[in-house]
Amino acid sequence: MIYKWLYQNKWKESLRSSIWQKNLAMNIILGILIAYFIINFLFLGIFADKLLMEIFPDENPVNKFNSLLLYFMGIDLLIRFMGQTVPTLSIQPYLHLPVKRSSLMHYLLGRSFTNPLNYSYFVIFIPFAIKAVGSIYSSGLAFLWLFMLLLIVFFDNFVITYIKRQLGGKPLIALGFALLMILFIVLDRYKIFSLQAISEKFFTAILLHPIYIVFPLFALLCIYFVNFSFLKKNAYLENFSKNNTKKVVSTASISFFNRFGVIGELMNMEIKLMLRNKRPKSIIYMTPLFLLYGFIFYTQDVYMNMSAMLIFVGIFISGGFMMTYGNYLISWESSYFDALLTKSFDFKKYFQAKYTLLATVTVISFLVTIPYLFFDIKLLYINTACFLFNLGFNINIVLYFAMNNKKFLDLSKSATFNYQGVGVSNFIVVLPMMLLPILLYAPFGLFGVPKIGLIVIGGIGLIGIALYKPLHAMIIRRFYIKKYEMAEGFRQR
Amino acid sequence: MIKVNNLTKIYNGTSVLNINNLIINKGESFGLVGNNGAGKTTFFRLILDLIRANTGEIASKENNVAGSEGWKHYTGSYLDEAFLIEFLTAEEYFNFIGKLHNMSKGDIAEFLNLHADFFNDEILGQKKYIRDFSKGNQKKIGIIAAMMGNPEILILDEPFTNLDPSSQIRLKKILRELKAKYDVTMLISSHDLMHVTEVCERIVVLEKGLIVNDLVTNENTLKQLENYFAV
Repeated sequence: MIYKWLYQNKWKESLRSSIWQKNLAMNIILGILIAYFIINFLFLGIFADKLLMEIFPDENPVNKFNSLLLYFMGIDLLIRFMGQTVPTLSIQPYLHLPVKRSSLMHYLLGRSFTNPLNYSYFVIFIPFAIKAVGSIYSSGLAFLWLFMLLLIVFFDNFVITYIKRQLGGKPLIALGFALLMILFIVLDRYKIFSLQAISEKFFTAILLHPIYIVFPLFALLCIYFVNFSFLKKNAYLENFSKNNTKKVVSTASISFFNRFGVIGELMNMEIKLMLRNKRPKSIIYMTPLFLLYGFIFYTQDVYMNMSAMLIFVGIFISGGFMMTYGNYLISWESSYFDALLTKSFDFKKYFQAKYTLLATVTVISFLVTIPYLFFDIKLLYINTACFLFNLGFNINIVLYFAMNNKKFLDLSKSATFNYQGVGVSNFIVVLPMMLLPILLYAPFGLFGVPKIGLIVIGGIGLIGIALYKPLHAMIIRRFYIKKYEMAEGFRQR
Repeated sequence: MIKVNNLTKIYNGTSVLNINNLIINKGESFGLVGNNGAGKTTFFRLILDLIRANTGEIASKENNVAGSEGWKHYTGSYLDEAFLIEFLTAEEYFNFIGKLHNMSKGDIAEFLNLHADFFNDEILGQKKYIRDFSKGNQKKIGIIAAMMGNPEILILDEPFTNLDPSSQIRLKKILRELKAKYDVTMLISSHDLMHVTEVCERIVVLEKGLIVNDLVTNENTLKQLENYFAV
């Protein structure tokens, strides 16, 4: 009976949560994206058996699928580790009410069963089960197979719930696990130790001897109970807040910046902001991945011949941080924006500090990616032109449009799947930054003088750098007009 | 010192503040009382140029506060937690504010020493971020930071709420000293009629955005206010 109440409340909570309160346009875009992915996965599921038969012609596609299941579990665990939330806090309001503790625990854990995300994989599994498992084995076994996958998915779910409660969400753990998986894949490739064989044997065995289903069932019950008993023991308020009061990370201010007076002081504070708050910290961890983007594109000839693509990559490599962090440049400080407005601050210096920070990271990103020239010397020219364009032109677009973000950002939540503060404008801003250089280059590329196209792009960048002062004055003027709306928006927490 | 002229603020068609004429002189300790929604915080936000007025203006030392930044150098304020930088430790926050007011490390240390009693060993040396302090201690940090740099105007929004009884009494002492020694102009809003009559020599009562009473404090003021609010 209490469950009905709890679930009703949860339904109200998700209806009223921020993701629905955004404007219609944003919801439509999200809807389209989700539909796109669902359709893609559906096709994957329907044609998975054909695919497997083509790639591995002498193997039973179902068995092959089973052999990949352990890898699937590994990737699933990784994804969940990064993005799965631990729903402890939501039972705090119920702790003092006449509700049985165990009911609350079962509710918390049971929430996973109603989470649609957990069923997303079945868009692939169900068509495959119907087509392949149904035809090669039997339709009864197809159902059993789906049930087995259900058990696996929720097993993963609860494993991560437990691990996250114990270890928190440190990205290093995820990295370690990812490396471990890569190790297994390599061992498999070179036939030293085959995780695939074990996986295939284990999961196919259930199809051959249906009674073995009790093993995964038992595993799921175990992990559920482990979670349950841990929760029951620790459902006290002191445990909830324990995760939040961390020891102070003594961030030694980068003394190099202290030389620059107020601007250096502001930059130091920005660095503290990035290192001491979950959401910006996640962006910092993701930035090195942008630098590695090149490996995806530069290793394939198809892309190496598409200059438009290369320009896109060039802009992204040196400007990735600038675009992801700079997007919310002022929103990061939304929790104390009023303080900035009332203390004796020179906003010229404020923007200078932000500009310096973005510019520094862009420069470092560029320098680090110079070695890409070993793929092809033309990459050096393209990336240099893009770097100059980023530094002279795009950075100003970022600063200019950063003031359109008026939504409060809660820095204590992680960045993965965090849509707080995301609006249509964020997507629109990225377009000119990426498309403009391509458009500028296009006529030159078509007429066979690509190098001049690059010089134009780089040249505009240099002009932007030279006109730094007047461009900045323009940005600051806009700030003084926009600051009231921003302050108002930030106050609605 | 502060002149208010034809000031109105309208939200969603309703007028939340409407002050025709108000002058606050230098060295005045000005108290603002009113029920919820009376417009006290709105008024303070307008003085600090945090929101835009629909009509009229507020002048600080003859300069409109909207469109000038000079007043920030001599105005200290603390309205709510949005004034605190929550991921800094208390020391880092004080150092930051101090640097903005061109105080040297020694000045800052001396200033914090003055208020050691108020801090009661709970604020400094705690190795905690501001966001992990209790609400009352956060308020203390904000109030003291507002006083850094010898401001000529001090604006505090309900400073006594969330403070424990000893801290409330100490705060009253600090405010009285500021007035006596430095002739600071103080604007304080409060729900506690007793505190406000003890600290402020002039009390203005706001109701739905309008000034309904402007009293000079004497022995009868507390009774007057209580009678007014005993609806």
